[in-house]
Amino acid sequence: MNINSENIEKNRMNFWEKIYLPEIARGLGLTLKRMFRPKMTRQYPEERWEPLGSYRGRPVLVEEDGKERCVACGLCSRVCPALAIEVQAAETTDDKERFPAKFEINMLRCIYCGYCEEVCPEEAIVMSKDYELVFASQESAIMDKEQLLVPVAQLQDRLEFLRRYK
Amino acid sequence: MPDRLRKLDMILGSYTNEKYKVLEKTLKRSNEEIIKDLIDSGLKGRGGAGFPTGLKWRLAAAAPGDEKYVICNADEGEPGTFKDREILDCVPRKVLSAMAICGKVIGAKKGYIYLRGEYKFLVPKLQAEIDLFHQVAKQFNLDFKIEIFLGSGAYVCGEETALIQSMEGKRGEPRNKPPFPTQAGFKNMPTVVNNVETLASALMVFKIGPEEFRKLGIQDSHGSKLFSVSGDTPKPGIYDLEFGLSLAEFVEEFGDGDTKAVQVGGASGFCVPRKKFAETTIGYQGGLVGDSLPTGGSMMLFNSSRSMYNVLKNYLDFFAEESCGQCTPCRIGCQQLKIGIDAVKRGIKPPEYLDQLLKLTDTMKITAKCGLGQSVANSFSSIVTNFIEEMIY
Amino acid sequence: MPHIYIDGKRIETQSGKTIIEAAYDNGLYVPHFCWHPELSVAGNCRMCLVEVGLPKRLPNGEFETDSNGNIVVSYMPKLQIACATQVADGMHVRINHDKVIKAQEAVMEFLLINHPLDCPICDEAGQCKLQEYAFNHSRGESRFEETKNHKDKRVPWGPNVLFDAERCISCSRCIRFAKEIAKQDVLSFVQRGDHVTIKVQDGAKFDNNYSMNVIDICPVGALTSPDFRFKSRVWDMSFNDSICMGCSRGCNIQIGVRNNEILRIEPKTNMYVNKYWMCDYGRLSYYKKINENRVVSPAVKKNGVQTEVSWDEAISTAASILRKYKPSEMMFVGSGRSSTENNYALARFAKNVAKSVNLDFYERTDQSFADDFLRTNDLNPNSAGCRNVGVSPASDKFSLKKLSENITNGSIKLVYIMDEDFDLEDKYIQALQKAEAIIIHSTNHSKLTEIADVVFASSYFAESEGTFVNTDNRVQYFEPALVTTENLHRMGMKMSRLDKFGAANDRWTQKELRNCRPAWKVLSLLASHFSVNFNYNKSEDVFNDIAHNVGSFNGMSYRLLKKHQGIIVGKSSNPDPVRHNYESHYMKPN
Repeated sequence: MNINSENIEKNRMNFWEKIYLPEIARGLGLTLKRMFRPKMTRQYPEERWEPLGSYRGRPVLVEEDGKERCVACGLCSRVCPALAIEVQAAETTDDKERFPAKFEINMLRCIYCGYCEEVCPEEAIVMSKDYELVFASQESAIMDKEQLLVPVAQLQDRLEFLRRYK
Repeated sequence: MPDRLRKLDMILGSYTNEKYKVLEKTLKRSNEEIIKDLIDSGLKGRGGAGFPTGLKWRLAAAAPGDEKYVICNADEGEPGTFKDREILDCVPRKVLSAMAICGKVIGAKKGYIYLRGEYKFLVPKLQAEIDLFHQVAKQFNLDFKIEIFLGSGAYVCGEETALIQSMEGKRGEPRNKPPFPTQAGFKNMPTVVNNVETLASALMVFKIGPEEFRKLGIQDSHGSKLFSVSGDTPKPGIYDLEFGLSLAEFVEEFGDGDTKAVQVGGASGFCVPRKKFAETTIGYQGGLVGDSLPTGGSMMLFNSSRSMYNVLKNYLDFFAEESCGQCTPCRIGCQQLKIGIDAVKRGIKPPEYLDQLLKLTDTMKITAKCGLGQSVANSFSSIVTNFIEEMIY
Repeated sequence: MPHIYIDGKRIETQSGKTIIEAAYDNGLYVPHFCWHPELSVAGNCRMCLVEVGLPKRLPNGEFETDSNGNIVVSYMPKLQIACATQVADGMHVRINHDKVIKAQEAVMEFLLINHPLDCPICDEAGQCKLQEYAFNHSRGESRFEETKNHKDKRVPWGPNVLFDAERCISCSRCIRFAKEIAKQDVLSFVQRGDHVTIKVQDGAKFDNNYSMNVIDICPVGALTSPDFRFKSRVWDMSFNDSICMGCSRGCNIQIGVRNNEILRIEPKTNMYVNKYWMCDYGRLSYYKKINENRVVSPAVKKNGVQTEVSWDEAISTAASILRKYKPSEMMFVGSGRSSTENNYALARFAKNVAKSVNLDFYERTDQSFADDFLRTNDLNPNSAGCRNVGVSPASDKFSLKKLSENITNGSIKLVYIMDEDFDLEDKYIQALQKAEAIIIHSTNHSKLTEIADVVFASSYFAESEGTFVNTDNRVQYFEPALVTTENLHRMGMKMSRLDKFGAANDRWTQKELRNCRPAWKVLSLLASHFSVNFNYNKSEDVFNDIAHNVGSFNGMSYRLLKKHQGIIVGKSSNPDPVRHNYESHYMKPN
């Protein structure tokens, strides 16, 4: 063992440091200073934080004209690294031919990576700003299509962000 | 008038009263002699592609087959040609005789005239001639029957394999070659498909002899040719001219003094601008502007009042409509060329886009299945490169 | 034998072959859409263009060489289509060459100009030639105006085929199939230029027995199956090789499974049996039975009520019932719908354990089903297997046809039925109701399972491995495609991605996991109650037993059957050669 005794010598505290009092005074001084500055904390849940468009919260389905944009191509389900998404397609007489008869995201599996949004050819699944996710049971953590649909008007920030940076 | 520009009147010369003398004379000769005469004469197909006629007959004669057929291609659909109609109208006996001789040479007992649907008005007269021919054939102890087959108006059916498909009752689409029709044509039997004018010219060879025929024309292009002259000319019509004529001489004779371009060979041929008139001769060698041009006989003259953009647009409309839709390059290429020049003209695409389109025509040339798709490149590239300012502004 | 050079590689081939065939035989791939080995050559997609040339010869007849001593080849100025150009001795072909690649890129660009690119909603996505080539042989972007043509969508050609004209690339494979293979020449191109589309003749329907094959050979998603449409993405499914049980032809198939449910059946190439095809009946009819109304666990009749019990209890109950009767009072019924292994195990059990010779199987024949292509009149996939392993009565007196009389006159009291429902013919049901005891292996619930004393939940062929012997006596191996509690460990990794990794709280894995067993396994356990040890642990053990004891199967093994795609009975020493099979589309591993 070759311990450099010089360094140990240097780190040894002197008298004032040993009694802590000056440091305590300095700490209290800082606190005092902060008391007169604007507050950083929020009174959650009364005060809520509104994330920016780049925030990746709960993935949701875009609802347009009362219907989902999704054509049930299954790419989100394929790309999902956590296998959280399940899609079952069915046929419709609409122009888009195909729609998801079943669209489920298991929020216990979801890791909020945003791959589903990135791969979506229709801009139909996006990451919302929703970060308050609490479940009482495993069953309730599996969100179905009705729970996932969000009107397009509420998702403008994210869509704007995607168009600019995707 | 220069020496070359005489109107020979060899093919359309009065012949209606001729009682099949040449046929009688030629039938007495051996097959080998007949083919040799044809090859010596240097006669090439008058439909535009210029395949040596003698060789075609020889190949069909040599091909094994229980039955063989002679088909006269009278599906004259190339924009700007109207010579076959006149031949069939004025001198059908020349064509019938030549078909009969071809039948004897290759061993066919059946001949068909694939007549363009629009030429239906020719049928009564032609049928009467054919009936007469059958009587004559009986006198000559010749077992050869001719039938008229009416086409339905598809341009691509002028292509020999598509024509055969159409005759077999199938959709008129070109077949893969090989096998060529001389091996497996109509009903998979050896078949000679010759243009109306080729047959009429063949009969001229038999009448005047290969040496006389060979004297006409230049190097590889012998004999005379019917030209359908149209466009901005004071004297449109059909003219029987010798090969080897330079375009400058031609324009001097037929032009209205203000000719800026001549479209040689119809929509699928080349467009020659004024500056190249002198260096261009009409014949079968080469094929590029500046050399001599193969032609089906259509000569369209344009004077300076014409927009070459409209001319090209018109051609492309025609090709996009007439492409059979079978092979990919032609089906989509024609449509894209059409949309493309339109976009450049309207300024939606930059002028450099024309380079892309030229590359596209090159691709069509090497990838398309039949002559239609391959020859779109001819008129497109010759018009676009020579009149690029008209394409853009 | 002529030889050609492809990209400088020397290849031996036969004259009369085309370049694409010669290349394919040697594992070289020329991209193509319209060419199909079983169809005539159309040559209209222009994707297989290659550069072709012959070596230059000097006037003295020798090959011209350059300064390095390499042979100088004069290539044709125009590219040739590999599907229609026949090989010539000494021919040089270039596939991976600049000019060829440029042409391929150009053709792909052309094709994609009017293609709707609606891969997200297209069933073909994931196994689509156009998609694959767009990655491998395309520029990646288009240089041209793209105002797509609009054509008809969702046009029914017949009951089993839907046509989407926009996706069609006009390769004409379906037209040629209809004319040359299905012999129903009702399809044709109509219109010209870029409006060209395919139509069924007026007043006709494309409804022949083989119509759905056009869906397989369509290189894009222009043709889809109304039965499968949008049920699943292909990459979410697992595809396992199996044999069709529709008739005794034994067409090789692939079973597409997702969520432990059969969604699709499609042919697998076997040039000795079905080539590239199978009939619509095989695709559509029986898989629904496998999915629905299944017996999912063994049951025993207690006080007249059927109760689900454990396997051990069911087997010991069956053993005690079997002990009650004399061998001559028992009748064992095998099944032409069950594997050779099961039938052999039954025959062995009947003869060696129960000492009974009353053994037969139910024959299904329907003359109207047969046609002159693939379908046969024998609707059992394995009649030949039953006969080969000895499932036949010792005397006519105890044949299945006389079952009714024998039960009525009391000579037969116990009927042991394996995987057979007699097509629920009244004659048999009524006769069996009079029998004193019935033990049955059954796959589906039916009137028969209601009257049985012991019901063993039985695996379908799609849930077990085994062999079928087809009408030409060809022994063919099939592997399981569905998971049961029995084959869970074996099948785990053969399932699709979702099925493989799903956990208990994932709803997609909550489809039925059936507690059913193949009959040989039950019979082997039953035999141990009579102190006979069959020594069967897996299906292969049963087959090795057959190969050892049945003369005509000598020398066969699962490994050889898989390798040779089936071996004809008695010809294991001289099996058909292994072939390099053409697949019209490729399934990416999931």
